[in-house]
Amino acid sequence: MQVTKRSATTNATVMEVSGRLDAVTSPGLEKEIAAFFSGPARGLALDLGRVDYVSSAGLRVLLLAARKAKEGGVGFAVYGIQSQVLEVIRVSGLESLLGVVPGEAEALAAVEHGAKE
Amino acid sequence: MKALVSSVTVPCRLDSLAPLSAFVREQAQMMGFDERELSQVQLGVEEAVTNVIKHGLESNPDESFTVVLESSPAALTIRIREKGLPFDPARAPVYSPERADKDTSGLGMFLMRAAMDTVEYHNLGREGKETVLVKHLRNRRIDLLTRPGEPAAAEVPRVAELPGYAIRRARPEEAIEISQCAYRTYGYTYADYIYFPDRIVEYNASGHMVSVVAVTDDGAMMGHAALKLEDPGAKTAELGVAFVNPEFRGHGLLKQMTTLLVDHANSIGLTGLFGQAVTSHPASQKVIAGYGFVDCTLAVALSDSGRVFKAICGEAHERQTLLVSFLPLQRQRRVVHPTARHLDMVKRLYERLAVPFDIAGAGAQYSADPGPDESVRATKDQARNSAGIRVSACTDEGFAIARDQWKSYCRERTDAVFLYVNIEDPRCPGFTARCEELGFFFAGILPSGANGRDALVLQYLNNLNVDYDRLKLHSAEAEELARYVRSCDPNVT
Repeated sequence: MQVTKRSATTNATVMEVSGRLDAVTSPGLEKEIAAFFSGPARGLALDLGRVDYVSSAGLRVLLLAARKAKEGGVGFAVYGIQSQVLEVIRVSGLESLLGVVPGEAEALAAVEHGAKE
Repeated sequence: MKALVSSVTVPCRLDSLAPLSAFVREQAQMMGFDERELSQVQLGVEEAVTNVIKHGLESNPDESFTVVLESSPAALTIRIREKGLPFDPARAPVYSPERADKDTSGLGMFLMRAAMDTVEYHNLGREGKETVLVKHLRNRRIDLLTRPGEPAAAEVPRVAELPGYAIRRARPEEAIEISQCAYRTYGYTYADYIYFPDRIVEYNASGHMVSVVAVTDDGAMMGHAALKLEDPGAKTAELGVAFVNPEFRGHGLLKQMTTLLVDHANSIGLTGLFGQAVTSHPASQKVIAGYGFVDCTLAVALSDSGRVFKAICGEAHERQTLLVSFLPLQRQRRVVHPTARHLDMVKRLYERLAVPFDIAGAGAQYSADPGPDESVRATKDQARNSAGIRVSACTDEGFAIARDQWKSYCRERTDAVFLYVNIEDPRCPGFTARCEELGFFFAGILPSGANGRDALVLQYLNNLNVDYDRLKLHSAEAEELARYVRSCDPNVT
């Protein structure tokens, strides 16, 4: 599992995640998320385009990110999700809670909108 | 075509997950699972294994657990065995998407069940416990291979005289015709494996099934019947999966196939056979009684014969009550311990079975060898949405395990739960009374039905009502049994 970050807009960061989000690798993402939200308040869009597997451990970290964003009053969205990962998110009923959108443009719009709410 | 078995012992550390997951994936890939299914298998394994590491073995790096993979042509079975903290699925939290923003407990188990076809927890007594995950290979169902527009059974004229034919053990290459024969004859049957030729081959190879066929000299399939064993070492088997192609009916083929199966059962030392007949009409009850089977249990609402059919035709069926009957073969004298409440009925059932038995006096000690297996075995039949719990030892621990298992089945909305209590255990009366307090009620007896010991059969209905007046039974004895079961059913007002 790898994470790279870039500033996409003045208010939002894109975090590109790749690899597996399982019980072994998810704590790594959790640290990144925690570090991100302890810094200056910015919205977060998670690009999961290169994530090919997610388990309950991965979903918990994604939920944690959504919760921290809400608590911090910033926008949050996930996008670019592969079909097998999307299936796991859907079967768990977490699509709206995680702010799932198709692509980066929608994600950044959602993050922007989320911050205003 | 035996199932390939491989096993690995894995240290109790999360970083074992990646190599284990890769190993499982490779096996599953070789079997022909597609990408989506491979991902589901990995998910099921990860959730089960992290559960074992974190909760069962409390992340103790000095511990280890064993993963057994059984790959067969029809399914991948994954067994995860460990000797960690007892786990009670009934008390495990239930995941709810509505609460997911605050509480995700139970999510792992939820995903495990969603990803796999079957998830079971077995308590192995001193051997610890076992999580069993099963994933079936798809797209091998016979109804997907059969052409539509086959004539219905009633429209097929019967032959006046049988052509030359043979009755013999089935050959692996005949599995597809057995499936087709079943499908043409009934459209559906009491269990869905008959739709999967690979499973017929697999069960016959593993000793879970003994198939006999009637075949014309030209090689045309006329009919099939089989013994079905819970496991290859079981002492009893079910006689069933019986059907004769409509055009060849009325010539005694079923009887000839049954005779060959009974001979086989005798030759492998089975103590008896049991059969199950529907109660919507008495025809099949009469057939099985004609072979010497004696009614011993009324399994109320056991079979949902429409479930598989429904998937094909979109039609709904009511649950069926089944009359279970038994044919004793080589039986030793048994000492049995029924509760005073059911003493008369149990005695009558044993007398009708004409097997040697003694009713124990009060204060009897458990003299029989408890057997190698003191565990509680629970199995769920997904097709019927019913479950069976077999209790070898009527101990407090046995009761606690059985009760928790029952609770977890109820929470999964299992329609009917059957409890097979070792009636040869002197503690059976107290055990039975405790189960009856939970809402279980008398169903009958089943020789060798509790892991080899004779069983008192109790049943529990999960929000189902049975219309006893609609049962069509073939004999006065069967009607007496039904009246008795009805009198015990707490759901009857």
